[in-house]
Amino acid sequence: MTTSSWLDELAQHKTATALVQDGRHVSFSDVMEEIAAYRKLLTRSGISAGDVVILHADFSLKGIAALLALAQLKAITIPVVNLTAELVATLKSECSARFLCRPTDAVYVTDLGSGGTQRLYDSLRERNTAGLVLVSSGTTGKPKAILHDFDRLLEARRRSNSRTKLTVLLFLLFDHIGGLNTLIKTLFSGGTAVVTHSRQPDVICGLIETHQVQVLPTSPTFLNLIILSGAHNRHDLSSLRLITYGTEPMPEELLIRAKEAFPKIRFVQTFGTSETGIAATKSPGSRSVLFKIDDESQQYRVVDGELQLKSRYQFLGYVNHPNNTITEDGWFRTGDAAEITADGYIRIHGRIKEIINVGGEKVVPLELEAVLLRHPMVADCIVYAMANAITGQSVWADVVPRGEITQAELRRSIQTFLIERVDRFKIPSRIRVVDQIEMSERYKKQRIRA
Amino acid sequence: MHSRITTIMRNCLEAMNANREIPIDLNQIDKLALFGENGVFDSMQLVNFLLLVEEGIQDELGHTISLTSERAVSRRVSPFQSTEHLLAFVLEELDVAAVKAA
Repeated sequence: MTTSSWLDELAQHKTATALVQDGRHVSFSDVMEEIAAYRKLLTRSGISAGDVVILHADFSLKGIAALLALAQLKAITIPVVNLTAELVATLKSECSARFLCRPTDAVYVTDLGSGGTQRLYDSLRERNTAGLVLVSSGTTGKPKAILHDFDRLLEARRRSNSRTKLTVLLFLLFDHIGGLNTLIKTLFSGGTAVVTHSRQPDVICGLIETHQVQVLPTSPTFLNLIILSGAHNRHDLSSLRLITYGTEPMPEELLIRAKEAFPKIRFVQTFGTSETGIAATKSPGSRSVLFKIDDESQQYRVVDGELQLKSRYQFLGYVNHPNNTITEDGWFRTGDAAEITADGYIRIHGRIKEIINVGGEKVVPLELEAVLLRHPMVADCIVYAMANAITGQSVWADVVPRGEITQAELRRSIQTFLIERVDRFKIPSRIRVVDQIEMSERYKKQRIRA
Repeated sequence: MHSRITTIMRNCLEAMNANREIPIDLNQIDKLALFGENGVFDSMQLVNFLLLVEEGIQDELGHTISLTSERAVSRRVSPFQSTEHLLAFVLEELDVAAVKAA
């Protein structure tokens, strides 16, 4: 599929609204004009096929147009929302980034100078194909640069193209596989993408009401924030038909709460990784956290308790990291602890590295959080490991209480509650009352601590 | 300071007793065997107790110390063998914390 054909396909939606930004409706024709203008400006700045470009942008007409213009030019784009000088230096030295593009008021392109070369890019350059580098926000260690064939990703989304034109809120991030997947899917189906500058529950619910948003792709953590804040009761969310949740596993108890808070809305789990893309899933029911990957382009298996994926749209490799997550037979090791149920559904237990080892006994944070959420005084919680020199690790829990309660009272109450429900070694050694749960900028719970 | 820490340890042992089938006899609190020979705790309970004591010290005295550190574990004479030894270790750690803060 050639570049011009995906552009033509976008162009055919003409006057339909592609984006809503700051209350302004932007048509597909406007987007096409912007892409054309950016293409000229980027070319004039010296960017051509195969060049590695850091795109410091967020979801906006300018950011999206620059991204698509770079794809059209067959450049290798590294989208980054929160860019630091340190990351620029890393991307230059480890990923051979040559240009920095900031499409704010005008296109600002900085030539960073030659940063060497990476053999991994050769296959893209030889095939004259656009590249996309996603920078993982690892909680430990340095970020990983994940290289994709951008043309292939665009083609994949076009092939699974839905004919339903929906209004979708761009909640997930511009530099995240989930956010890009939402954008591409929405635009290629002729739908409308609503841009937000804030991810506060009331702002998101306000946008849903104002722009009659039908689909909210989000994370379980943010869904809980909406419920806790009560924002869904302050706005008319009757337009919302579907909430898709992904990026982290959903605790069963939270899904039940979400269904109670939004009884008329359908919930669908999305599943994917930055390395293998997002796959369609099928659940036994809207209240179930179990799922099957229902996508002919992806296969899955569980080996030694770890979920492994093989995708037609798999990444080409890590630019700055050994490819130690790929098995000898070409499967991607997700790092997710999982099991396949008797009915063939996948149950995710969480990240393998988040599993707590208490003197040889294993504690799965997500499972314990699900039990804790059933406690009447627990509004939200996070379970994580803390190192100690006696049992190696111990279980700690931070809890946002419902109403006023002291730490000692809450601890007593939770311990009594847990004694009847879980093994003794799973009972948190330390329970801390907190105002809010620590989460990443991608609205995932942060379970890895020092 | 001595008595304040003993009180904190007593409160923590009382909290532990709430969930024990056989309660710890607090009449012996000054020389109670904690871990090891005749100790009342297994390793997991010991960690829970030590974390409670840490929390109590933070709440009552405003000092952050670690009782489950490598330093505690690697002592020739274990601070965990009895309340008496633990008390001495806590006092040392509080001294270290005070020096650091100064």
